[in-house]
Amino acid sequence: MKPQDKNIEDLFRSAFENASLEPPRKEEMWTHIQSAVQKPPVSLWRTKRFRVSSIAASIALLIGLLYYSYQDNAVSSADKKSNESVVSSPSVENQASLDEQALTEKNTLLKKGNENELKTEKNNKVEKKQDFESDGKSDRNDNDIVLKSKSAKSNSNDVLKDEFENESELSALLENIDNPTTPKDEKTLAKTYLEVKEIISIANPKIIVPFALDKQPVLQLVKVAPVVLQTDKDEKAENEWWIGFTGFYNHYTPNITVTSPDLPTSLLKFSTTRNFTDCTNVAKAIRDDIQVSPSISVGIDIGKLVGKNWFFRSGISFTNFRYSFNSPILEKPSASSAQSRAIRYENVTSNTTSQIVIPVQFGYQSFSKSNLLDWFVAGGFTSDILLNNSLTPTYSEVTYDFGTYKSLNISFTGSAGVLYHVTPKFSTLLELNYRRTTSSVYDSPNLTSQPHWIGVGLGARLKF
Amino acid sequence: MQQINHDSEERKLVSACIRNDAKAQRILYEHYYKKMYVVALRYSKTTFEAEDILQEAFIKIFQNIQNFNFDSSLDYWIKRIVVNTALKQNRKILEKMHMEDVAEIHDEPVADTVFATHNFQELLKMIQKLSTGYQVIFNLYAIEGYKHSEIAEMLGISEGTSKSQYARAKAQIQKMLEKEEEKIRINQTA
Repeated sequence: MKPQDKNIEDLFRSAFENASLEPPRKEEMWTHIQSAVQKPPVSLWRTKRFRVSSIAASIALLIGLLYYSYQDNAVSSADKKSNESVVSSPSVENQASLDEQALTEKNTLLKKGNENELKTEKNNKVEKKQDFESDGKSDRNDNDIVLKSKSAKSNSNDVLKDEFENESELSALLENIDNPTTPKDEKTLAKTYLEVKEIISIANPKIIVPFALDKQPVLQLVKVAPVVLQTDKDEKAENEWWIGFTGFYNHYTPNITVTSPDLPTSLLKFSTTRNFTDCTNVAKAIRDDIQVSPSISVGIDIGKLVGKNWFFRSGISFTNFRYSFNSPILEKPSASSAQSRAIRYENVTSNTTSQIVIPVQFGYQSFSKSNLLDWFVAGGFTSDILLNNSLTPTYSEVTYDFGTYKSLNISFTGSAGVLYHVTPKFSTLLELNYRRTTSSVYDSPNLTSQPHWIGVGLGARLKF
Repeated sequence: MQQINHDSEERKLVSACIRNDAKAQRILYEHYYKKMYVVALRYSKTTFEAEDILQEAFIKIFQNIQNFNFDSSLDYWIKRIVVNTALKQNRKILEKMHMEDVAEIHDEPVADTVFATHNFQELLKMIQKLSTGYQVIFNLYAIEGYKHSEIAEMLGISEGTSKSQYARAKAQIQKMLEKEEEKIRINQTA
């Protein structure tokens, strides 16, 4: 027996005592170790409690704003009603003046066919007009403000057209209406001559409201018209909030870029229950051969008009999306098995993600004269809160390492759509939407993914 | 590569790693990665698996270094973590290992043959040819130096099973060594 001969235990122990080898991917391993160890401080948003509290607080804030706005509108309506009651009520307060005026005022009513029936009750007396501006444009001597019946047209200009047989007079008046020169305080004056409900009645002839009579001279229609138009705006402001429901059908693109070397890949691990190896380039499969499934999202949309045509909107929606890729694997025969050759297995891996999306957008909406169809455009950001992400291969012996899917991602979003107003308060909509994340959704040294969605949605809105 | 020579230097290095100092972590990594890579290779079948074990182990080392209180050498502590990580990776296979009752085993006693020295890479290949269960037990007993009672506790098996599995592993290794030595003899005579 030679001195260097040893039993098995001694042989192995001495051979491995100071053994060392250079691993092929030393630097890559170091990068992975560092990224795992040197993680930035966990953001509050990663904690479930903070996420739930934030969402609850946002919903509470939205509800608070809605309630405040509702209260505000209720107060405004109450104020309006009280203003109306302050302005002389035709049937009670002005009865005495009515009698007096009956003798001195000249009441002339124009009748135009069957559509323009006159109110002949005591309260429906026409006041005398008086010029407030001697601009020469509107020196009518006629004392006419005509109260229309229910069947009359709602458009104030059309109301005017009905009243004037003289086209030139009409043109002059219309020009004044389109470019009113009425100073602001004349609006106040107008209100002292006509009750608010009377003004409304001119804009909405469907409402029949008795006129008040008092001693003050009558305003020209041209002076009333801006007030009437203003009333239109007030009515629009009453419906400045909306709540809606929308469902989207999205085309989802994962947009994955593999940043680590293709081979040997850091993306794939095998357990050793079976002798599997990667027989294809999994990085290439992920990059070039992804199969995407259609994505559906459903949600609630809340918005408010800001100014004439601009709006702010937010909401909450649930989105689900999925992609898969096939990266075949090879099982080599083991010494103990009866298998004589390597077997190739198709290995389809699917990645399924579900998230809550909270958008914040500003946009512009048209308000057409027809009040039937309007369009809108909007842009902004979304907060995409991860609910679940799973990567599931066909074979449990295979695991993929894509890194960590971030709990919160921020995306740009843009929308355009068309609204069909079924009633003044209820609309349906068709919307196109584009959304793209601002950064990679994975925290991974091996790949980045900046997905985007293009969606078509149908929905409905209720204004209040 | 910066050498870690003295206890005091080792303490400073550990303290810096506890503070999450990236430079100190790099020094520690550079000092131990090659040696621990071989340890990982002994418990795996491929370089990928070994690298995964090593990577996972170093992450655990840096995340738990504050628990190292110098009651053993740093070398031994790091090696324990690497071995435990390897066992964890192989746990599913170990759980499925067919652990027969020792009473039913009628193993032939293995003669304690002596062998010529071989380099570690040849021996590594032999270890990797063993099935996973044999590989783990052989490593733990023959190379790490654990007792069968300790191995039984670590793997959740009986002491008898550990002895039996080791005996079979040793027999296979012995055959491989004899084959290897036969080849060398033939080459030498040729």
